Amino acid sequence: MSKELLQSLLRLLIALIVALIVSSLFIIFMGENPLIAYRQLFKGAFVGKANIIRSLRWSTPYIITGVAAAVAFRAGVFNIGIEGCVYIGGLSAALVGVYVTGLPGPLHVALAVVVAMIMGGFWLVLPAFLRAFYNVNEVITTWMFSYISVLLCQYLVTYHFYDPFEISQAAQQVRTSYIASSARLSQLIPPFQLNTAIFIALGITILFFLFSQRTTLGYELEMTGLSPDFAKYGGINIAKIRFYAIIISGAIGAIAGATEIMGVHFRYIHGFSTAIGVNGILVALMGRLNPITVPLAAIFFGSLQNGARVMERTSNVSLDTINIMVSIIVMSITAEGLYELIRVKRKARKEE
Amino acid sequence: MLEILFNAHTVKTGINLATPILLGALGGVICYKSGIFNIALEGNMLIGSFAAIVGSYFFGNAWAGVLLAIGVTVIASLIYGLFCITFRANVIIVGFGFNMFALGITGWLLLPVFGGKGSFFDPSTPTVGNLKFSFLENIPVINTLLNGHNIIVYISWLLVILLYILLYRTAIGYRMRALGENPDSLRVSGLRGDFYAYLAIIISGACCGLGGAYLSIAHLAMFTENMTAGIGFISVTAVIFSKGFILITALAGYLFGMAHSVGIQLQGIGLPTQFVEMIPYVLTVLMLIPTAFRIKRVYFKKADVQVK
Repeated sequence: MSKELLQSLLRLLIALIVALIVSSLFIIFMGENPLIAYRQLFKGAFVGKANIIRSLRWSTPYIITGVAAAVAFRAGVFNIGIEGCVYIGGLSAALVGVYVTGLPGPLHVALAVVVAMIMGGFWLVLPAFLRAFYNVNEVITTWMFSYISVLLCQYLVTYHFYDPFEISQAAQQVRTSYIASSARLSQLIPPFQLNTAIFIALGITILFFLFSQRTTLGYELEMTGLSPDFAKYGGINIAKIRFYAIIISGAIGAIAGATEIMGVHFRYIHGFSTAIGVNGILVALMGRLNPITVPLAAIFFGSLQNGARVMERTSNVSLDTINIMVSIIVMSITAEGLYELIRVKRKARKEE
Repeated sequence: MLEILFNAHTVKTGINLATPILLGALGGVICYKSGIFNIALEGNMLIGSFAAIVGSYFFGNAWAGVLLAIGVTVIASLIYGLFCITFRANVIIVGFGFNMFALGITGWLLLPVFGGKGSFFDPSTPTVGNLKFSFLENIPVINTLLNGHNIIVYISWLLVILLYILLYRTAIGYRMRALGENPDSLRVSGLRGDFYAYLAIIISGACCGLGGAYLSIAHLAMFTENMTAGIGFISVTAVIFSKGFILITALAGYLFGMAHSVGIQLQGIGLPTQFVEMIPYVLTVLMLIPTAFRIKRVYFKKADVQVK
């Protein structure tokens, strides 16, 4: 375990170095000093109470979507349609928040989350079914479903669930009414957007840890991902596992949308997801699908993005800089050849 | 009703919408046949469309833009190839990462290069012109189908034929296909598999670059963030649907374009915009369903996701 973790960390380090080198080149190209930029970035992400709180706020949805992606990837199915589930979940939660009234607070929140989960899971039934039982490429179907869901949510809100009391109903502003106060997640430190969703994220992480380390189903899931033939030989119904992996992944992804709506925006605003689902996939891959490292990767990603948001106003370093960095990390993370290159060199040096 | 849906304008729009899909799919076919499941087409096209508008804007010539697009995309796809082939990383993960990388880099460069965020539009930037054959003008149907299209459209038709010849009539194509079906056979013959894999990646990069250029500088010189919006994935679908048979791939690309074009006409009779925009995505899912009922054949090694 410890050796495995060490190796995993080593790989992450190498990937990070590669990413830092490449993004430094870009920052130099932009005419700025990368060292100063990184220092500012770090400051914006981790130094000072306000920055830490904001970093946590941005990390919260990534933890949830990161776990969502990791569940599917562990089973060897590449569900990249989590963005769609975020939208579906956000809209369902908003609708429950707006149209269901008279429930006590916690119950209302729970209802909204559960409805979001059901809708999010349900949304991916077709891709999951096709992948699990008929081997239809899930990479494309889930990605297409996320486009479809974004458009569908836009349609539904524009034509059916728009806010009737909104006076400045501009064409671009697609939004529902505000949700009832009983369905809102309370803010932890009032002026900041950080809210109780972080506990939901924490709970999901713990459940994911227990599920993958302590349950038979978690083991079966992992075996299906690592070696389908072996799993089949061992009597695991791999089609079923794959099916449920995608559904569960969608359901968890939908929670991220629901908490964003219930904790931050308090209404469905089209485009509320700042690529939460897509970034969750990057987080899961960066965290190497491990229940301990995925949340850490989410915090890393969210914090850096927060740092970049601060820097965006004064310099050329922006959110995109961080996205480039993280995507390079993700590209390097499965690159066996890259590590062998380094290992071989080290071996050669030892022999000298 | 039918006249509203199928007229000369629909055909024109259909061809217009199909061309980037077709060009992407051509790149995808070459990779598919060489055993690389390339989902980085999307990112390649995005980079291509950005490079095209940069070239066209700064050199004042649309063809400079096209050439820059092809050059930059080939380099970008070589990076993708470096990870996939030399570093033996998981193709899907690298592809996904690459798409995100392309999205980030084009969005980021918009600000320093053009001084704006989100999108760039400049009417004075030169665009690739249309080609008119005067001898076709008097033939009714042929005229609409074949005449007056963008030059890149004609290049894409030419590419279909050229790539068909390359794949099925030359030694290089034969080896590429051998690489896709059985990589060991190349090794047995003493040939370097990596070389042919890289060659496929380069060709696919060039096709995607051209497709990207078509998106940004064919009619209007315009670039918006994430302007490919899934076209690369639709191209991949066209490839899977056709099992990598290039002529069917081209037809599948045109099917997407035409269906979308008919959908746009439907908007005129009251279909909400969102549903019109949904059509290519829904069609993509529908076109993948037949692959479920196919006799299993190992054309390419489908990479299982193994990150650990």
